[in-house]
Amino acid sequence: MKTLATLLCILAALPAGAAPTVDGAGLLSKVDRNLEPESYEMYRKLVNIEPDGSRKEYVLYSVKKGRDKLVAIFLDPPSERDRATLRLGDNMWLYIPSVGKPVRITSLQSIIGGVFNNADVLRLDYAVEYDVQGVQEEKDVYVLSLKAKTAEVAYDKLIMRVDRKTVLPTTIECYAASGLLIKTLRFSDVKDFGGGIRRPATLETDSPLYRGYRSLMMYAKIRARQMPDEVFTLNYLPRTKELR
Amino acid sequence: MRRAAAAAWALAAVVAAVPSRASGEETFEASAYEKKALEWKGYAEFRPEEQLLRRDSAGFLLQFPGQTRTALARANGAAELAGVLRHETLSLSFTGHATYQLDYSGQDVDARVYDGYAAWQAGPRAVLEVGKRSLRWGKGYAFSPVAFLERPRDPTDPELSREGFIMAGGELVQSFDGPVKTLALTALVLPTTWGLNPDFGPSGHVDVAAKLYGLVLDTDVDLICTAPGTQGLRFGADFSRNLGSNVEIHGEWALATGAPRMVLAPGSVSGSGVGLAPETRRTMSYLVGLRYLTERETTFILEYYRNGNGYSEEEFRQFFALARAGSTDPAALAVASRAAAQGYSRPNAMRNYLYLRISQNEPFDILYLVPALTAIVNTDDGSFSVIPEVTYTEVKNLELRLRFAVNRGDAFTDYGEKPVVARAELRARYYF
Repeated sequence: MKTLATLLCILAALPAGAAPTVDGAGLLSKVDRNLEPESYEMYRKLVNIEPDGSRKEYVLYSVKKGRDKLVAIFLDPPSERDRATLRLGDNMWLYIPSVGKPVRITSLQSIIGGVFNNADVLRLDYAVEYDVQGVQEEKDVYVLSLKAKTAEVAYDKLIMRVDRKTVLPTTIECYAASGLLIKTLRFSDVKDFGGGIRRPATLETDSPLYRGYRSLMMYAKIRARQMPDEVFTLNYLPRTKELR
Repeated sequence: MRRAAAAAWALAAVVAAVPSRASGEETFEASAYEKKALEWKGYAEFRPEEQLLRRDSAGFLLQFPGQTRTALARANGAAELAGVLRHETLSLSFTGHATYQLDYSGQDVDARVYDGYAAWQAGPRAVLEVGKRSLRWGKGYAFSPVAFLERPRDPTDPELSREGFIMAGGELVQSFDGPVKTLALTALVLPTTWGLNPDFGPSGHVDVAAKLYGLVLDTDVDLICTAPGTQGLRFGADFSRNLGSNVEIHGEWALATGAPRMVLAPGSVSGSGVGLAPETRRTMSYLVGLRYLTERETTFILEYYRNGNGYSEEEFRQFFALARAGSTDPAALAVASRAAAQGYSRPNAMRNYLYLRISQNEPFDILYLVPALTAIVNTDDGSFSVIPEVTYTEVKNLELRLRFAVNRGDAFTDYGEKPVVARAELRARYYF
């Protein structure tokens, strides 16, 4: 008993820095799985809000499989309807119905106006695109420093703040290679989507590059779903809307 | 009949354009966007334009014979309605397009079906389709030498929808792990028998086409073959690949063993000569291009197009001379008009073209604004067309595009003999 008490005293006296270090890669993978299953379908609404309060809304349906297969199609507004994008690893294509064929695009190219870009709309798991460079522990959050694995990734560096209780991100700062802050993502409105998925239903974005402008992304009907690989091909892209 | 159909399109467009509910609420009800048995969409547009004409050009003499006008004002309207009707794995797709034009000569109305086909999705790996279908083959943006089964693309506005042809076909797709990620085989039959596809080629033929697509080492590759039909045996290949996060390169190659064309025979300049004669040739066409995106979101699209079945400078000079002779010789004018309709006035009718488009996404942080500049140069004769434009899409479902176009070139050159020196147009397109 005396030995146990002595051991507890020694442990209590240890400085915080000597505590077991957090497994950054494991933590990032857990963040990914808490946000959505590895293979899923979901609906999203994107809202661009301008300084004068005027808004522009888009509705997207997207399906993801495994680490690097993702397809998304615009369902609204009518001017964008049936415009579909496919991502296979670093390969991205855009299908515009009036053009009638998929065209290769790059990760930096914006498929709609506003603060969100392709990387936000066609996001893969964070662990697929980023390495964890460091983890800081604060009272309620972990602060992860993430570095892009390749130059193909849209943001060179992320600072991700993760709630310690829920292991869900609260804010993500996105930086260019030059160190310039491109945008900040703020997660809110944690809700139960069913099937064991409990995550933020709203993502808000602002950017110093677009002062006064805000963008919202709202999530609905996130469900685990397995699709055949052939769904993630150029040939299927014009028929993506049939997956709903 | 066509006027009645066009009026029906226009009415449908106006009715559909009326908002069905008030917007602005901060809610997201996703069930409203789930798949329905019938879905449709469309647009209606109004496009007034003003043209400055070149009275001494061959194009003017052909298009405005006997006239002295120097300008032309025209009002254009268009409506397009597209829909899909589903039942389990079967679907019916439809696209109808109507146009209205009003100018000094009166009004003209046209309505036609661009697409109308049935599809059976026999699983994620196979689909069968039959009906009228507008295909888009090739990787080129402004030109596509491997687009064997399509109507000509307008390089000044390549994203415009086009009417298809009646065909039947199927597609098989298979995904893999490894360097070859996708293989897809498309097979098509396009007949000109029983009065079908009269504007595709001579009647009584059946064109059979096959296309093999592969995503190989992160490169899109297509191999294409069309069996002897209306236009002889043809082979094609294309590719597209990203060279980084901001550069894409693409190319196309096409070989036609019996490409048909109409040529002016010697002596036709006088108007009393032989006139037009058909010929078939073995031709090779190709295209190389790139798309480059800068950090400031400026996009450059550059393409070089070699049209193997195009006309030479000498052949075009002969055509222009015939058209000019038509100002005093009705027989020459008649032959020149037929030559224009049967090949000499089609887009990219000569042999070597360079295309450049520069567009800037949202300059000066002005959201939804995209200015662009397009240049098309005929590298054979040095004539060119320059098209500055600006597109603005801030208002929901409304796209505004202001566009100017200038054609420049010496006498007896491609763009120097166009009837229009300069053109300004405003296109207001409302989507519903």
